[in-house]
Amino acid sequence: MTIDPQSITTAIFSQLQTAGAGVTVRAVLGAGADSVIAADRLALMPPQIPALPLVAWRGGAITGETKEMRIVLGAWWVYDALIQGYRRINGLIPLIATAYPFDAVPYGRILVARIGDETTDRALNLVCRQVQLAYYRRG
Amino acid sequence: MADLDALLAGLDTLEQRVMAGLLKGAQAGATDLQTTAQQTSAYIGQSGATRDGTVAYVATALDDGSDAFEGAYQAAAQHLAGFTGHGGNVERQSVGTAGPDEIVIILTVPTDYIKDLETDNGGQKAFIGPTMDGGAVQVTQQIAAAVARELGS
Repeated sequence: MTIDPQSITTAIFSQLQTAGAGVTVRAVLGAGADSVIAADRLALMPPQIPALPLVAWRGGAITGETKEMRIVLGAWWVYDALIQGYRRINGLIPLIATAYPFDAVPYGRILVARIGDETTDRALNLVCRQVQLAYYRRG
Repeated sequence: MADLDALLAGLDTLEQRVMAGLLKGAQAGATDLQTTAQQTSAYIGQSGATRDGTVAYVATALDDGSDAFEGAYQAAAQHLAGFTGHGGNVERQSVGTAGPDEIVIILTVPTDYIKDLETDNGGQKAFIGPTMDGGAVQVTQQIAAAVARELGS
């Protein structure tokens, strides 16, 4: 596997969309693998929102200097309908964490770095919560 | 006893120098974080309140940084005065008090819609969180370097 930002992102994304490790997550999502999307799809006009709950991936910063530890950041945004509250979202969080054993992405280590507040996306009128992942590797 | 007194005095001096270095490093880090956040292209902006109201500052038990926050508040308020492009307003925010041995870096915008910018459409226009995430390693390095300089190493 080539190690570059895209290959890391692809590996992280696939873990929930197609890999066996993500099967318990997909079982809870509204449309299985179709409810695993890139976050930019949420902003399309009209919005392209698959069945809820859904998870939407947004890549973040890559920090660290070349000769030191690199940290690749990104987050799954877990969305559900207002009427559902956070019950299904909060139930998904440990399933997402379990789908990422520390060696899920080659040549580094991945872990859940932060779980965001329960909040409302006022643009979409949906409740959501962010699950940030951090992938560490050298070079 | 004289030796013990000298040792204790030396430890006090060491603590003061470390804290001074931590503070200098955190202040330098906050300055860089603010610059980065103000230069973001994550959003375009309408009134200018978010960009000019973006502020990063250091808070301690002795100085809560309210002067810096107030400056940002006034800057945002100027942009939003009479602005009708959206219904957002300036907002005063509060965070927990820093303890006696704590140095806190705060990056924020004093508006009631900054939270929406950070959240809407899966964080499409977010820049506060990403700036902190992206700058954390660099700020840590700045702080470590400032402590080393303070200790003369």
